[in-house]
Amino acid sequence: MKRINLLAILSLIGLLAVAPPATAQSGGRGGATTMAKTTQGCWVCMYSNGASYCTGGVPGNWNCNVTLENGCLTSSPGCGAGAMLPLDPDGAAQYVSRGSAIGLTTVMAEGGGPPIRRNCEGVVVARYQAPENIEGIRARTGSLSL
Amino acid sequence: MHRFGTAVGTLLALCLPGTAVAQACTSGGLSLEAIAVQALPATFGIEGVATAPGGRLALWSAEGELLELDREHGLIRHHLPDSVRPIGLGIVAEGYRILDERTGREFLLGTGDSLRWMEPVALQTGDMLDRAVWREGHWLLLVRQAAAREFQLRVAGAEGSLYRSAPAESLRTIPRYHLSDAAGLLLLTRFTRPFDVIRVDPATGRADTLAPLTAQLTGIPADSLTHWRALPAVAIDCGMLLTLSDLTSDHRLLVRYSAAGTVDRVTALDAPLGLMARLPGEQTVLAARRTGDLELVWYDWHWAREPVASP
Repeated sequence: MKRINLLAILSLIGLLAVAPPATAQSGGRGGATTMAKTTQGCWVCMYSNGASYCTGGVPGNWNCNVTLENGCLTSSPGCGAGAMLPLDPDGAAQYVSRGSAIGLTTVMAEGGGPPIRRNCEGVVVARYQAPENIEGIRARTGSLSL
Repeated sequence: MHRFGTAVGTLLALCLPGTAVAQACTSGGLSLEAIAVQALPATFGIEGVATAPGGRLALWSAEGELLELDREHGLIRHHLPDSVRPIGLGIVAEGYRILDERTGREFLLGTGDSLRWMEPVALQTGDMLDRAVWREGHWLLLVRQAAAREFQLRVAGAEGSLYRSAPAESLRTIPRYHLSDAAGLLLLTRFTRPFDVIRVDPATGRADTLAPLTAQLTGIPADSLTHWRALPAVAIDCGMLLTLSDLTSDHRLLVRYSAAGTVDRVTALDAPLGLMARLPGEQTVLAARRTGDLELVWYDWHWAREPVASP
């Protein structure tokens, strides 16, 4: 799949400016620590000593955005301790970035369709829904037979 | 704290239902009819939802924003302090009890957005708190216990666990579950395959697992199943509903279980929608749907009557 991960590049720029070295990955609270095998492409919001920062190379995570104020902002609800399992109650995980100091959006068209943004695992995190798509969704979900 | 204190968002249609009378169970199909839609603020992503009798509900985001919605006041938006990230929220008469993810401290968000800090919830060494659910005056804690490599469901402040998973091979593979209510029982829904739904009796600790979805998932390639997630099982009269979502597409599977725990029907849906919760005391379930922006949809349910054979 062709993918332009501008967000990751921008996150890297921010990481160099504000983040501590990315070595171990904190697995959450309670003093527990988990090490994750690293691969390229994923950027995740981590917490250490009360500070948040972005670190890269963690599989199964969502991208996060570096900011100058808070260290990093989540670009998905699955950031931090929940990062291994991205979830979004609309079931779509089609999360539209809530903005940050680096608020650029990277989109790519798949097969000539509307732009879709995915994370490094292929999960849709943002996409454009054309008016006819929206009408179709409303029509398909106005009444459900289960 | 900032409080907008006014209704925000686009109220497309909001005619929340009143308390309904439980319908008789039938073996026919179930129909969900959308009765109201509420667009959410463009920057809001749902992290969790809490409901209460009278149609009250509250949503919170990972960024610590809280939306409350009821018939009387519509949608009201609250911003919690930047340092607070809710891991659980309970609707109480005085306002909202909120448990902070980072500190484990509880606070009460009251009238006029007053904020009263309370005692921290006791956690054990190695606890990773996934979610807290306020129920009948207590916090239920959904915890991954690093030392035991178990998922545990506990009542805050009480000894022992209501439910413990089998030990996992590693921290990463400790199973994680949603928690929802089902007529006095608790439903644990595993996030990932095999999407087990476990009923736990909080009084006795007895647990049983609903029928597995093995056959219903055979059409999904194994490498794709890793991208599927379950939402919390939603208990309705005479059964339960479960949404399975493909995070890489709009594909959904809506599973209907019988009250006995068997799989009655699985319906494929091609739309970004997930059933989230039931409104207590009403014949209504709440769903999240993405149509450009994120929105809430209220669905009333109706059981189809079985056709009567002519004599």
